Amino acid sequence: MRILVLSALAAAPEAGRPLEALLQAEANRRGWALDSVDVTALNIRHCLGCAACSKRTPGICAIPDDMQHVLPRIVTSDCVVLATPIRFGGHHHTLKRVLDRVLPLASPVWVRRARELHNRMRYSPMPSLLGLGWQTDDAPGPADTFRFLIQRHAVNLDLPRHASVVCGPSALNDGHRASLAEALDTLEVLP
Amino acid sequence: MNVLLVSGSCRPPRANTQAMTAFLKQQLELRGAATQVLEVLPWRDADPELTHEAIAAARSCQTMVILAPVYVDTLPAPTLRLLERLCPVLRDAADGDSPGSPQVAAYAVLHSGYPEPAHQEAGLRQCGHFASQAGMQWRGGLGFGGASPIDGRPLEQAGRFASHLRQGLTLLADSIVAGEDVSQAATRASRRIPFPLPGFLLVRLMNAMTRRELKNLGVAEPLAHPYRDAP
Repeated sequence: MRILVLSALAAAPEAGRPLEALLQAEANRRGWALDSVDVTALNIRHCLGCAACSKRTPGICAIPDDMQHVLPRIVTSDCVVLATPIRFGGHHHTLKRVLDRVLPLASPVWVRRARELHNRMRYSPMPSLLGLGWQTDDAPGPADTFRFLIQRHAVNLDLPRHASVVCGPSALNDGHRASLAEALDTLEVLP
Repeated sequence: MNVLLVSGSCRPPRANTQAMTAFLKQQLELRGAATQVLEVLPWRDADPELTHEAIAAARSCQTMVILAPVYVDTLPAPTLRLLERLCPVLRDAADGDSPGSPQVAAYAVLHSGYPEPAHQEAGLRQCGHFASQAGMQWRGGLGFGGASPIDGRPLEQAGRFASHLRQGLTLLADSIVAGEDVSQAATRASRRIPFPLPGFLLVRLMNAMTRRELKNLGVAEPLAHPYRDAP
C-alpha cells in the first residue's frame, strides 16, 4: 500500500511527533510505504473558483504553486491520511487549504451518488481516506463533527473506504494504537 | 443592536456570498440594527493579524453572522483562519463580561451549488463549535443549496433563482433582531429549491447544459486524466 500523509500536525507539535511516529510504526509493521507532506510548509493559494480545471485545462489547476505536486500524489496513492489538530470540529486551516484545491480531480460530469448530486471523479479508483485528528480536550462534539466531515469527504470524492481516529489529551496509549490499527485494517486494499 | 457580518467571499466583486451579505445587511438595517462587515478577503492568500478596527468590531458586536460558501464539504480555509483569529478575541470579551451579561449571539449562512442540505451540514456544525469555543450563544444556521445560478448578482435582481434566499434571509433577519434561534420557517425556506426536479432529470439536464458549454468553449478532452501516469 502506498500511503500519502497530508499532515498539519506541525501546528500542534506536542501531539504531532508522537502521532506521526505511531503512524510510521503501523506502516512499518505492515510493510507499507509512507509519503509524508507537511502541509503547513507548503505554498498554496486559495482556490480561485475559476473552473479552469473543468472548462479550460481539464484536470489541471491554473494556479502554479505547490498544489501541482500534491495532486498527482493523491491520485497515485492507495490511501490518503488527513492528519490534523482538530479546529472547530474540522481541519487545521493549512490542511483545508490543500483540500479546497482538489477540484481538478472531479470531472464536469454530473451524477447521483448517495441520493445527492455530485461530480464524477476523473480517476478510478480513488484512494481510501483516513482522518487522524488530535484535540486538546475530550469534547465529544468536535470529535463527532470531525468524523462526520471525513464521511462527507468520502461521499463527495467517491472514496471506496474511509475511517477516522480521534486522539485526545491523554498520552498516546494502547487504545490509540488499537484504534489506528483497526482503522488501517478497514482501509487496506487487499490483493 | 450591533451586528457583525463576517463575509467569507474570496471572489469579489461578483460573488454569491457578497450578494447574500448585502441583502442580509439591508434587511437588518431596515429593522433598526447597526451593521458592520468583516471581509475574509485579506486572508485568502495571506495570514494577517486582525486590525484594531476588526478587533473593536468583534468586541462590541451583540450578534455575529458568518456567511460563507461551502468548499469541499465545509468552510473554506480563509474563513477558517479568520475564525481562528477571532476566537480568542471573542473569548476574552466574553470572559471579561460581568455575570449575567447577555452572550453574543451567533448565526451562520452557508451556501453551495449542490441542492441537498447535507452539503452544508458539516460547515454549520463547525460554525456551532466556533460559537461555543468563542463564548457565544449559538442560535443556528441556514444552508442554502442551488445557489450557483445567482452568479453574484444582487438577490433582488436574480429573479426566481434567488427566491429561497430572499425569503430565508428575510426570516433570518427577523430572528436576529428578535434575539431568537433560527426559525423553522427560515429553515424550510432555505431547503426549498426554486426549480425542484427529480434527481435523474436534474442530472440529465445539467449534463446536457455542460456538454453544450464545453462544446462552445472548444474543450477537446473534458475527461482528461493528466495525473494517471504520474510517477
